[in-house]
Amino acid sequence: MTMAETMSGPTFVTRAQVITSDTSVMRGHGTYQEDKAIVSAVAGVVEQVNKLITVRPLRARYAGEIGDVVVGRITEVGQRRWKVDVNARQDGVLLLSSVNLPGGVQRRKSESDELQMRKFFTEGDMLVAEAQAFFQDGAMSIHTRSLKYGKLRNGVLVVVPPSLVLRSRSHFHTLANGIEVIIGLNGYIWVCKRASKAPEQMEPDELYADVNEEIGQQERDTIARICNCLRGMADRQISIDYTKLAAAYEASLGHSAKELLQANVMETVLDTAMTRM
Amino acid sequence: MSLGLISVVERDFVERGVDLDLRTDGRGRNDYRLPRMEMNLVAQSDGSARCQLGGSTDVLVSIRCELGQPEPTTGDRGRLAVSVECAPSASQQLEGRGADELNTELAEALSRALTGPRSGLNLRQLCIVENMHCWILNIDAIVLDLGGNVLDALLYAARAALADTRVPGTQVQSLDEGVDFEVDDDINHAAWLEHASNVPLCVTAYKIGAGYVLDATLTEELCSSARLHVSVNPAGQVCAAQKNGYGSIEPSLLITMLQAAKEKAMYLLEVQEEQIQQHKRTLLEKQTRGESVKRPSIFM
Repeated sequence: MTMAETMSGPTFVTRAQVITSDTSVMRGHGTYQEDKAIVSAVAGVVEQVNKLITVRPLRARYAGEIGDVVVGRITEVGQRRWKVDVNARQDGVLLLSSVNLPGGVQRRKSESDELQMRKFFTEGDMLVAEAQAFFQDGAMSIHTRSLKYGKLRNGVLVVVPPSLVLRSRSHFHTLANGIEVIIGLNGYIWVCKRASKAPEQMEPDELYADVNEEIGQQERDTIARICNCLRGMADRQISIDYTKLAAAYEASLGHSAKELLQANVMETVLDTAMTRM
Repeated sequence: MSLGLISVVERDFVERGVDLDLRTDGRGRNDYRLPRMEMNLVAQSDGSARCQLGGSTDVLVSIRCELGQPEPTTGDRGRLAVSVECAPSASQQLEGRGADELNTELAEALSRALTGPRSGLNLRQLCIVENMHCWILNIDAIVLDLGGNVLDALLYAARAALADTRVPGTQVQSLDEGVDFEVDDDINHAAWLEHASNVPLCVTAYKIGAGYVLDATLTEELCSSARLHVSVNPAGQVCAAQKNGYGSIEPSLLITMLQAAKEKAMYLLEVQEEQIQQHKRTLLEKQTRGESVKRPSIFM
């Protein structure tokens, strides 16, 4: 008798808990065999596809897929490549050939570009990119060869567990007051003021500039409110996508951004938001 | 104590927010995340407390009484021994030997605040036989999560743990060949630590840009050029002030920072006193109901 069959809804297991003693099923990721029984190797949710039993861990590092929108931070500048922290087991790799350089979208990368790589991205810089491929060792190769992607400015980073971020058609959203939210599938979320100039209209040098725009009191307040909503949702293990975030934001308008830091206020805000949905 | 990287624009965003008195989480520069506290958590210790700031910074302090010998110069007093350990689960940078430097820095700061006359504790209470035997209070702290402002949280928890500590009673007998003593295993004969309510709390002011904030988050810590740790006791006296970091602080800002830290510390002391009294009330209720109260840790 498998637990997954007898119970409706998700079955949670902890590490070393016996999932089933049924010998006809196969063990998948997150499980191991011990005396004919299949035992969970992680704390998470049991999933069964036909005969294959797997356990999806609740807390794990990000394991990407090609095409994912990720937000990352440059950790190292190397030979023709940048190392990027994308919340995965290994740092991601951004090749010099995978970025748009000023002056011509698709030109060849010359030696002079290689020498001034720190002018484009330097250690600590934030960027949004797309997962392009995986190397043999599992490291992720990312690219920013579209004007949608590139350097991030005018805002703050919020970190949530990557398992909570839901895949959706778009990961770039604009909430109230012209505040943009980029929900990276790796659990890094960038909340910022939307740039007054579209990237298509920017001068080549502006794409990699390290200067913020003027951000007013009201915009800052909205950014703080959205950040607090995101942190509150993550603390309570609520999955995150645009619809839920927008609902939480709407429900939070009765309180000041500062009040949302109190656990009981956040509780009522999220309760109303989730019942409204 | 700089963990992680930050970009130029993020730093600029935080600095300009401080100028506008609106931080990235909506707080003003003097707003403090309300500390959540639990006491008497560790069964094997004589006093313990855990403090959490805003659901991210998380520290646990345990105090254990151990028999030992006093320092030769202060034979009539007991001793305190402080150690701090950052759990590797708190931050990726703390794995392996990465935490060593931070551990020493925090232990040194905590030790400076608690030992010596500025702590207000009566160390003579810990003396058993002069120049021969005394109690050593082992104050062991573990940092479970880093969310900024760790030292404030550590001293907050340590102060509560001291208020929770009871020193076992002893009976000294004079024998022909000298003196000997016995330790009493009845918790009711163990004495609360004297003057534990005199112990100061620490409030740290972080200089960011041209302004300052209290109770910084991890990101704000990365942006700050200088820190000022201010210890204040319930009498409203500034017991210690220590400046850390590479930046400089102008005299006018220094006075503002000291003043703000002192005011916040007075407020936090009141908050904590209420939390401690609440804990002692529930402890007394348990005792009157006849529930078992733990024995001194030396017998475990």
